[in-house]
Amino acid sequence: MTVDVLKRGYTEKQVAGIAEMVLSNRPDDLLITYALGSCLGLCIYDPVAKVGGLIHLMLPSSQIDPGRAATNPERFVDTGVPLLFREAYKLGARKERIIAKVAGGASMVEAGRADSFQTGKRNYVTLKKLLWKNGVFLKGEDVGGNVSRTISLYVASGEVVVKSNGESKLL
Amino acid sequence: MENPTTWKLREAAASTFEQLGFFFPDEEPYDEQLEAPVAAVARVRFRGPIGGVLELRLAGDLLGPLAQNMLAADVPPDHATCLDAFGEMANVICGNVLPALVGSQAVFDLEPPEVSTDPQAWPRFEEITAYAVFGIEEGRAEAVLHIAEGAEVVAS
Amino acid sequence: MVFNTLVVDDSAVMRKMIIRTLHLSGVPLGEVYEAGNGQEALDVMADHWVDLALVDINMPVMNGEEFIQRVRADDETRDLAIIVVSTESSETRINQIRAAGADFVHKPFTPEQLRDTVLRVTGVSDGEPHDMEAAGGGGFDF
Ligand SMILES: [Mg+2]
Repeated sequence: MTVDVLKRGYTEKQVAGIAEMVLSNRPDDLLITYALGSCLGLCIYDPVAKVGGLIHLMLPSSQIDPGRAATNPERFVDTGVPLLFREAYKLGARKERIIAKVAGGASMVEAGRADSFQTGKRNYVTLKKLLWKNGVFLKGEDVGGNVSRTISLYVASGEVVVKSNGESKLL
Repeated sequence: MENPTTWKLREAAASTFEQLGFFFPDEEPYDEQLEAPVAAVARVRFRGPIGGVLELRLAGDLLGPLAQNMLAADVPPDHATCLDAFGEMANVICGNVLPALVGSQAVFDLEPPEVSTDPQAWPRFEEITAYAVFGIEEGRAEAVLHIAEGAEVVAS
Repeated sequence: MVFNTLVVDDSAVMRKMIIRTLHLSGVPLGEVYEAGNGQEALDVMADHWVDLALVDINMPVMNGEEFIQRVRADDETRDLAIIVVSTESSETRINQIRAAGADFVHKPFTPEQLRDTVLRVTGVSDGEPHDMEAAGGGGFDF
């Protein structure tokens, strides 16, 4: 399915940079993060409170750099995801209503170099473990492969659009 | 190049650890992972167009974390439950690898897994058909396939 | 309506994983029974009404195939909704399972795959509140 993103209404674009998150309860907002390679873009949305959140996660575990995790918890799956949920609760989201969708986690091989760290897959497995532990299902996902992706969330509707290779689709 | 049987065993074991065990199976384990002592062994006997045993070994301190992951628990459960979780992993890997070897029409019967914390609980196989090893956290998992009967049926 | 549910698997950990997924899926559950093999499952059903059964194939004493045959052969139980959750990968057996009117989820499954089948079989629409308390496991981090 190809989606004409331009026809969907929003007036404010809130961008989550690498290792950043954005949250909103304003229906005019579009939350977006670009250039997800091995990183994961996780969207959460409460359709009743109309609260959305989006985080750009880089690495699976904060254990490799606790100092960095203290100042930039959004960087790691294990510290960033709980933070995203808690911030959404502050805006009125309720866990049992939250719809979670994820994109990214690709295997990015550059110039013939093997993806020996498999960061994309590690990120994804860590996320799945964390969600299972906390009783959250994924409602949609577009992960793996070796493409770069952009994910966006329309706060008014909760619609999530993933763009890769010039193609957009609803997740 | 890896032979097809080894590749299929690797695939079955990796996807089971990932989806059921919530562990990332690292196909290039590092030295410390390879040196971890074996903590538990599970065996699943199977009969069908081919007959034999699937053995799963877990090395390092993973028995508790595995069951904990599966149960979404805060702390590892009791020992018997940890062994049950590990045995189920062996059962699932075995059930997945067999039809991959001889075709999806074949019907197999799997015996319930037997589990031991003694690495020498059973005599070693005289012949190993396929072997796969993964680094998992600070330890590792090894899957060993021993085909005793009907090995000629396996397409290579 | 609520679904009295029976989870049949020789692995206690697998039974707990299935039950957790059921609670999180938002299916209205009544009593949840567990059995370690087909015979134990028949014993439970002799004493209790069950609407939905999730059944493993490879089990000691009585396997899932025989359990399903027995259930379908008995007028009292023949309409039971059955989801087979098994490592079984043989098309021959999966076709037999489907011919017996059961659904099938392949192990290893993701929680989402099992949830989707449970929702489809029970006809429960998604989006109902999840039963976090009853799901068990540990405390939540968020
Ligand atoms: Mg079983």
